[in-house]
Amino acid sequence: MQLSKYVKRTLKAILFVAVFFVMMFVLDAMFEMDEASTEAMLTRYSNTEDIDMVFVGNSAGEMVDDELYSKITGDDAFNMCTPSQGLSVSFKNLQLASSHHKIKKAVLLLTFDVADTESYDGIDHLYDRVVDSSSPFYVRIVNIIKRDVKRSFARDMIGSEKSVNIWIPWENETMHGFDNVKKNLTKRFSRMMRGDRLGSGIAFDLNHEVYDRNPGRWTDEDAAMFEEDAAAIDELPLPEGMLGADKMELLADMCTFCRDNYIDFAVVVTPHRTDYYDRYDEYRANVQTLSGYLDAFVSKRGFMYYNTEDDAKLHTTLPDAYFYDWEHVSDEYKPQATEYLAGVITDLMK
Amino acid sequence: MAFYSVAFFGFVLLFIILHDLVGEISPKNQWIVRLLAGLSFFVFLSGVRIVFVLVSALSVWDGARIIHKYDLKNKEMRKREGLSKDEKKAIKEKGQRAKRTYLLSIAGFNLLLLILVKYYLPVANHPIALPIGISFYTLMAVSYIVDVYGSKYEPEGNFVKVLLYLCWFPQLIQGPINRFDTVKDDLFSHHRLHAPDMRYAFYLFLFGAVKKYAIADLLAPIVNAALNNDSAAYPGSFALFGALMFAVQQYADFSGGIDMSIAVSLLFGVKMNENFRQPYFSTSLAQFWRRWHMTLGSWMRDYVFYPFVTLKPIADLNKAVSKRFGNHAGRSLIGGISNILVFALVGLWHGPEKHFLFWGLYNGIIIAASDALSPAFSKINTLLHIDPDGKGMYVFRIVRTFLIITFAGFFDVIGPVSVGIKCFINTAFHFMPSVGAGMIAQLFADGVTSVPAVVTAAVATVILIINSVSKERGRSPREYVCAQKFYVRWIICFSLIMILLYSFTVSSGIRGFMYAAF
Repeated sequence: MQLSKYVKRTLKAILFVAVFFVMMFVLDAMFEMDEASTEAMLTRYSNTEDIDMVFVGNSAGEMVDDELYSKITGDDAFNMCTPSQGLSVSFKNLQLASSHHKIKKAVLLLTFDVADTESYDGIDHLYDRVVDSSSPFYVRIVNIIKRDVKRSFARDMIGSEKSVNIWIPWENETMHGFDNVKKNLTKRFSRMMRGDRLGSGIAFDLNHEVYDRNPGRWTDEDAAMFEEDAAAIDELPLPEGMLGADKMELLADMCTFCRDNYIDFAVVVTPHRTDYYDRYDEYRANVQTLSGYLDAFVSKRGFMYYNTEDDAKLHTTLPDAYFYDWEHVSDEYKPQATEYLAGVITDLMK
Repeated sequence: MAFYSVAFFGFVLLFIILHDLVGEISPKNQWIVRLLAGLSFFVFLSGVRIVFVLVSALSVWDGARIIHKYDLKNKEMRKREGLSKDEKKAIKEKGQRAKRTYLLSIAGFNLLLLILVKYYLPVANHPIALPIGISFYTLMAVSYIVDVYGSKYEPEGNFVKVLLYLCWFPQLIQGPINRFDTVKDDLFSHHRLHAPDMRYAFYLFLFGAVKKYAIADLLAPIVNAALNNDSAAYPGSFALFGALMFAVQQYADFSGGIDMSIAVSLLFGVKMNENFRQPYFSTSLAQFWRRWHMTLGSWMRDYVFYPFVTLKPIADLNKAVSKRFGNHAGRSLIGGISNILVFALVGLWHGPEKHFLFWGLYNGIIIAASDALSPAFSKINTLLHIDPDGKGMYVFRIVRTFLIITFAGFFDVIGPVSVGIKCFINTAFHFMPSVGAGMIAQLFADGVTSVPAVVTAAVATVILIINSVSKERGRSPREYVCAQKFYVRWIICFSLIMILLYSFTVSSGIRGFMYAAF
């Protein structure tokens, strides 16, 4: 009698947990995946076989049509730029591509406003899923638990609500409106039916260490060099959110990574409208000075820097009418922007 | 440390296991685990500032014992043979004076400590991080020594038991302000965890979390957008909308947090004092204050209001006014002055800023005025043939009280008092509903809030209202849920969990408890 009571209770507990999980996954399917543009880029990336050159950067960098670029230059280029891509994510993209392909060239398509310094949780989540997606189910589950335990128990996380929510499968997903629920469900369902998983084409021989922010190749010499440069940049009054010492450290890391992996690296300030610098108001002159610092910073590390503003032909080749705002090229003029950048980058990297 | 966090869940789980284990091995000493939990929690959140609570506990523990000794000694002296009535009276008075002096110095010391860290140091530009729960445990410490002084109960002989009373961890974040006599039996006795208690605590915690995260945190951006230093320029309709949202937000935030605290405390067998009794169903502002933050209200009543009205000069004034203008006038005057004093203190308890004092005075003056004018209101009712006990009047009173409380939000939230007053004026004379509606629509366009966030908050608020109406009618929704078949319970439980979890995805940011800042 007593035993059957315990059995009943245990079964109930198991059923409770099972129902809870089913509900979680149904809800997960109802949500839009976080960073849909990153997901789309990674899916396209996983279906691209030959890549020897990558573009990283934010939405301004989306002006490069990589197929057209490859045709023009003969490189196997892939554009990994996505909206609001911070330098940490750009670095992650570079590392990801480098772990799968023999990357010979990398270009950071830069605007002076770089959204973030710290890696955004949701992006980590997405990358982790890419890394895991072709592993056996049990490996994926173990990895998810390992990662979530690490994040949940992190010193800055453990006392916050986020430490619990990390365990929710749709923690990093959003629902922009109830109208999208049906669309999201259909999308996930059809993907499941096709057996199409995110990143399924990637060869997963990744060494997880490659995802560390600092891969251990940062030498004393680099540090000394960085200190000096960072101090100079930090003293320059700049608008909030612009490249500062903390972000420059990431750029230095990228340079070190490229040097150690024999990747030819260039930083190119993307084409923009004639009134681009007006947006910086009283900081206008400082932003232009920053460009000079950046040049020195990158050149000192043996790589190339180019600000398209320095090109006298920029605004005649890509007139203001091609842009829908200060720095974003309209879709119909992307071929012209690609051709222009192909010329600039080929000259820069020869 | 948030209640809804791995750290807090882990902390509670660890101490529940320890609590049960010690309860089995040595039931008498189970309270020591509660003490350890309280001290660990304090140290975890306030580190070395635990000294503050140790000093408070030591002062009131020792002070209460000395006061009690005075009492005993005094009684013994009066029992001696051969003393005349006058001599006995003189001994009694002398003892009373000594006791009072001691009481005032100990209570004053604790209050001064609070004033120093909470008011003086920040104003003097030397702010220090407040020890957790100082606004709450200081009042508890004072209540303990005053109650011993008033011979309500005997002093506790064991210092660490008084310490446990003051630093019982679920009450540290935002109260309630427990009384020693109401929690001591639970705090110091053995308790075995039972499944129904756990179930009840789980639902209470879950419901509290839904209130906090799915209502309060989702409404917070709207309140911040509508009630701020620029609000003087907003139309009255928009400011009133903000104040209405604030009324819901504040209740959900505070009562949600209290539900979570009470639930956690229940797991250790400690039933803490009730802090809310459906305050928005109050028919007058005075009644509202007997239903909202009840433990603060009753503290003010017992330790400020009553002692104040029984002061000799006040009693004399009462007599004089009553004699000349009638009993109602005397009672209203004294009651009014006392209420204004009490609410000014309640306002200051929230913080040293002027708007809190103004907010307190607003409440005190309205209560005082409504009491003074009550005969006039009765006459108007008679003249207009209004049944004061009718349903219509009941609903009218509830709505009127809710609006008075809502208007108080202008002074509670907005820093500059002048802006709060302007909002008040705008609500009366520059309502401009169409402009206000446009500004509300703009909140969505600007991304301040979103349709899913508002819908989630609305659904959770409807659940809160159903819960409150049931309780107001004398039913306990949580007990009702707990008594249902398991699948019904599960449906309710999963629905609440989903609302809670979904609220995080549409939330623009998680905020700490409002009252934790006080």
